[in-house]
Amino acid sequence: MRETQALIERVRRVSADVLQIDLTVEPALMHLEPGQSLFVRPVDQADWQPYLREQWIPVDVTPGRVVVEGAPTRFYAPGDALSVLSPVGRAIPLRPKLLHLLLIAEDALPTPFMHLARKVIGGGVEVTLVLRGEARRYPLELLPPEIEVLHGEADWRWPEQVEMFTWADQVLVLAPSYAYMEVYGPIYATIAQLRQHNVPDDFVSGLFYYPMACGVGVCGACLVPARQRITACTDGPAIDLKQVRFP
Amino acid sequence: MVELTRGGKSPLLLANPVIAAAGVLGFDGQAYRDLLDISKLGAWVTSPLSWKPRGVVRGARLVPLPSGVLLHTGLPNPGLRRVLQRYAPAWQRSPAPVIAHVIASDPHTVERCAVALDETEGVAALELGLHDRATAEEIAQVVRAALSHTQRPILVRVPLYRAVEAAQAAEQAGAGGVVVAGPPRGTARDPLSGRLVGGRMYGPWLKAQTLRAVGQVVRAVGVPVTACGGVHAPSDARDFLDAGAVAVQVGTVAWVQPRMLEIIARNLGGLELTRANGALADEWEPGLGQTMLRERQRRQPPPPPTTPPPKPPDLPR
Repeated sequence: MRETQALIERVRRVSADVLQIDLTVEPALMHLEPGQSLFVRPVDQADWQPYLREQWIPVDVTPGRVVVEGAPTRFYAPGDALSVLSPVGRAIPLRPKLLHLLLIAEDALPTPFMHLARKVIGGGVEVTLVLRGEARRYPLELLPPEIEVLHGEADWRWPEQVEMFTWADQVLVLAPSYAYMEVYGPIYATIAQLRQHNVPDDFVSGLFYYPMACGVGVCGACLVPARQRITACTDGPAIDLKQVRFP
Repeated sequence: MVELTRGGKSPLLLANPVIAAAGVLGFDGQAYRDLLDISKLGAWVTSPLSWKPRGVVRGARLVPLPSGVLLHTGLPNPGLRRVLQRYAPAWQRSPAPVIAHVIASDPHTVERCAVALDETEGVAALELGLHDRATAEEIAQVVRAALSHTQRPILVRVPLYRAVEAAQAAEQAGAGGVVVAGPPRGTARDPLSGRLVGGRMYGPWLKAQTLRAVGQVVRAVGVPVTACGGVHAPSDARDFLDAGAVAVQVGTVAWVQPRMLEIIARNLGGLELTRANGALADEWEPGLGQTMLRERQRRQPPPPPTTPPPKPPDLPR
């Protein structure tokens, strides 16, 4: 992890729930992989309110520029200088010979999928995105046109669900931090049942974005319930659900 | 040198009065290896250790507070044996002294931890973390349990709101020094889940309360006092030293501004000359800051004479 500075170039209020910010960044940040994020604080923030850094998730990385996206939490303006700790987390591991990627977002903005989707689509991977609950409010015009979008029902069903679980080479699931266990547990149980409890490594992963304090795996705020010590900030955000201990 | 503990066979002496508090640098001190140089610190305290493994709590663990944060983790750690297997080699190589923070839940487990840590190379001292409700008798029991099974110096981190009573109990039981204080507990509503969450509170607002407690403890006990709570700038640390603390532990500011830990250490170590430019000197030179002090003293006019000037001689009329 290193500390750099970034400059806000542009702020776009895409919808009531989504803010996009264009950042001019130092060259070191151009190597961000899908899954890795930024830990940000205004340089000129004189007071301690808010206290902790914010985790910003890139949706697009081009030379000299990073676009981040999230729910608006405070006022940002072009010209603001930011102190950036990065990279936070690891790249999302992709399975070898990946051809069909299934992404599922429930009650959470599918922002963490966007950088990954853009990258794998360029490599010829077919991507399907299932949106459930609040995730359906995400503006579809922000998605790459190659993504197939499905809207799931409240009881965790959507058309051809079973076929999709068997068709996909890899599944990534996203939920709000307070509902990880309630969402990820049933998904994993369903897939384990379909695959007769022979789920390959990294086949189904949950994205863990707990509110975090330190970003370096020390404070314990983002520990994932597992047999081994897994922290979302250093080992995540994608954690193989085989390793997670569900209640 | 700063004497962090008094008495015993091996008092703990540090080259710098700034210490990374428990939970800041993890178990191996490598958490911010790319961002700060821990050799500039006086020492660092490990994340809290217990004899048996402790799991992480479920549910919300972090709630933002005005100018601070509430954190509730359950002090997860893999247990002392595994910690020693994984991290003891790193402690031996650490460029700064390592203080092992032991969760002082009961005398029996403290005793077992003390035995294991006493045999471990690289441990400079033990810090016993007291529970908020620990009575004077319980404090005496855990301190004596540690002292009877280790030659290492013993520090006791006392709860903020009963600091004087706990510090006196720790001193009477033989502790070499006290740390004032552990983070206080609070309850706040998690904005994400809407649930009430209890946990420990951190932030710069703690400074005023800790400063008062430090002053009271310094007057009440005879062992060295280390301040811990709310230090977010060199001036905060200096306030604690002015209040009578011999050293300061710096904690959660590292989460927000990791480099601040080193900046405070350099400042208190004597690099006052570079502070105006916000720069860090390339070389570490303890005592360098004294040059500014001496220069100012040199510029000052000489003090007025304490004896009255001699009478002028009588002139002839």
